[in-house]
Amino acid sequence: MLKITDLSKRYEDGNLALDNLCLEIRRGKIFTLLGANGAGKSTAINIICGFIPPTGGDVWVDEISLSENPLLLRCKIAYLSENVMLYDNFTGYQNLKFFADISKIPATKGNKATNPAMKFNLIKVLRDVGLQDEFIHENISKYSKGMRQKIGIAIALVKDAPMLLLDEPFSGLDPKASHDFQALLYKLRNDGKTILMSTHDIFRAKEMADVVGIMQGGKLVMTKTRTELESEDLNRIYLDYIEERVVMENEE
Amino acid sequence: MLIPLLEHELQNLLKSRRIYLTVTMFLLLFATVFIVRAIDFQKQINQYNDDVMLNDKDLREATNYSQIKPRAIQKPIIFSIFNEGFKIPRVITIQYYEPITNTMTLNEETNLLYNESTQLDITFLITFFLSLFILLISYDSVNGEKQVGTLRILMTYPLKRQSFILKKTLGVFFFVALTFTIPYFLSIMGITYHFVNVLSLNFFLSAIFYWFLVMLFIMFFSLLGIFISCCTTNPNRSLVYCLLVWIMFSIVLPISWDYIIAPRLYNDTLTQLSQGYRDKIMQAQRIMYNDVPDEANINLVGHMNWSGRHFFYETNVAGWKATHEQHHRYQMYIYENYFPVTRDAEQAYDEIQRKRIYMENVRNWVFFYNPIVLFNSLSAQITGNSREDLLRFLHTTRELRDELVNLGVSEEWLLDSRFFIMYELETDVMYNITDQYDLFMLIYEYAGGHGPLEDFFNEIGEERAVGYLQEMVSQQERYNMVLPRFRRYEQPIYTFSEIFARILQYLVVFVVSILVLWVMTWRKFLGFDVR
Repeated sequence: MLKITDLSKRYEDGNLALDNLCLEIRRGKIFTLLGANGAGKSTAINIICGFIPPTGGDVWVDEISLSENPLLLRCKIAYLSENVMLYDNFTGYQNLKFFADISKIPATKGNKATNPAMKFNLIKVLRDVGLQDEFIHENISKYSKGMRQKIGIAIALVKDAPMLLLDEPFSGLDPKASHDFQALLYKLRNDGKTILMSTHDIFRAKEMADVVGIMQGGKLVMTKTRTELESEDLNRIYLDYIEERVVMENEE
Repeated sequence: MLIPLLEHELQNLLKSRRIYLTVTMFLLLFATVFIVRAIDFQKQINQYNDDVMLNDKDLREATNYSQIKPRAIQKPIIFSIFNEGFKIPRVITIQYYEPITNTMTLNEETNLLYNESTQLDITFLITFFLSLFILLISYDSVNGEKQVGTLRILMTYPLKRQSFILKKTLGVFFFVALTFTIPYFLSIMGITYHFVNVLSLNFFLSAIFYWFLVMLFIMFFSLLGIFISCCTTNPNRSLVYCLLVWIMFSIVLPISWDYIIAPRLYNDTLTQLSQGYRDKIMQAQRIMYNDVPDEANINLVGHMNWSGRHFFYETNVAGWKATHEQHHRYQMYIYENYFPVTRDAEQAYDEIQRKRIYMENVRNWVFFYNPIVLFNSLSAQITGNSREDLLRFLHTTRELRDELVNLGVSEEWLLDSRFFIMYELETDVMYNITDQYDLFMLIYEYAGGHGPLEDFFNEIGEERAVGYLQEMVSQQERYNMVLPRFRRYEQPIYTFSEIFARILQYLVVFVVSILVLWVMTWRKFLGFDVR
């Protein structure tokens, strides 16, 4: 589903944010990226979303290459930032309607331009993600962070992208909202969506992820599946990698 | 794809409180300036009607050419409500023996170039305030969206970056265009309703061109605001940049040109030209009043006086014939010496104006990237009150004069003896000569009510005197012919192609600068950090 090969990024100031990152996620899995600040999680997500160009390597989503067809690749991904910020002057419904309107897949050879969002009943989608009816036609400025996340998910849903990129989605959510959001993500996974999520929350990562990856210095230094992790203490492993004990051992 | 984007952008703008404040301010300014200018135009129209009536009255009541003072009266340009442009003198008296030039004094003329920016009209409103308003609306359109966070989500959609810039530009453009267009066309309707009898097709042509030009102006500034918005990620900073750019464009650059660069480049030439003009005028005056050689000097036999309407020579009847001949010599002298110099003075004046036009063109080419300068001069071209129009007005007036000359009016008139006026004709003398009463009545009227005829008769004998009188009567008949119909000077009506030709070159520059700015904005946004 998502394949990252030798992805590297060096910023203008010389800082190497990604160092030949290789990663593969299979369809219908939740992949959680762990790592300290500056480890390259956000840079990776930014490159996949096309916010910044990579200095080397490539990204494939559903066999579509970022370097060859960046516009089409964007149709395959939906992005949810840490704080879902929308147009404050508009209601939740109007925001969703706008993003549904622009999620048209551009025409390619042999294919006409289509808009996958047209098949959704927007009100129903908003109800499905758990937004109370009385807030649907309320201005976004009155929404709580959890409600914004729900709108964000709804926007991702109507985009009908098979791949979801979540950038620290749980930070700042209260426990109830976190729980709801987690349930929503499970539901999405069961619907066949692939989810790449970066987080600092190790316990939630272990609880949710099908695969956990730890990034350190722009590299993916460890990947373990849910079954591999069941008997291990992820917190311990994470701290080992962060403090570079494992790397040192390997080098020796 | 663009339509939902644009729809959204317009809705977004409509929901912003800042916009309402800006629009309200602009509408208030527009209404105020429009009403002030419309009232001013009504005054000009009234003045024009008074002038025309006065002129017609003069023509109607005149019995000979010496009594008429034909004037070229400039019809007020209705578009001066929107663009005051270059101040053209309202009335020019067509004089046969003095150069037809601007009635303003030289001092005013030399400073005129630097005083033009103080005019308060709709054009000033657009160049000064509307540009600021557009920048205030668009300064945070890109980086503001980044700051809010929506840009990140938008950029994960299959949108080209150009589409995003286009959406932003068109959003601001449509909004401001609507803000301008509605009061503009309302005001056009108001003018149509109120000034219907002074309207012409030219007005509507100009109105359309003017509107089109304003649209280009708005487009440029919308793009400029968005370009600045792409240059920095901090909206506060881009606000400061926008204000700086606005101050540069609207105040610093044009004024530094007018007061620092242009004087350095052209002051010498202009002073030289003005001095040349002044010299010609002085020379003409010297020829007229001082340098007259003795054999042509009328003052040796009489005194030249100014009656308020025309010159006349006071003399007594004893010297009548001598004075008559002297007068003829004097007029020949004027004809041969004074006239060519006055024509030179006119040429010198035209040179000054042509130099100014050249300077304006250079200014436009130097500021080809600055729509404020371009818009100012282009709108004056469209509305027909540019400096070229002043020259055109003067030339038409001279054509009118030459027309009169061709009718046998001016130079020939000058050579004649109608200026030769006798004084102190006593009514009792006149009544004594009863058998020639009618003749004397005619002479009396013809001479303007002056002249002691008695001495005249005594000196030269009755027979010769009657001969002179008959000659005078025949001359009087000659001048009592039906006066030619003077055509009323009116502002030339430009055709569509004429207006278009006048503005074409700068219009191309305008459009090209917009395209260049578009490419710059687009390239800038390609490198914009959307994270």
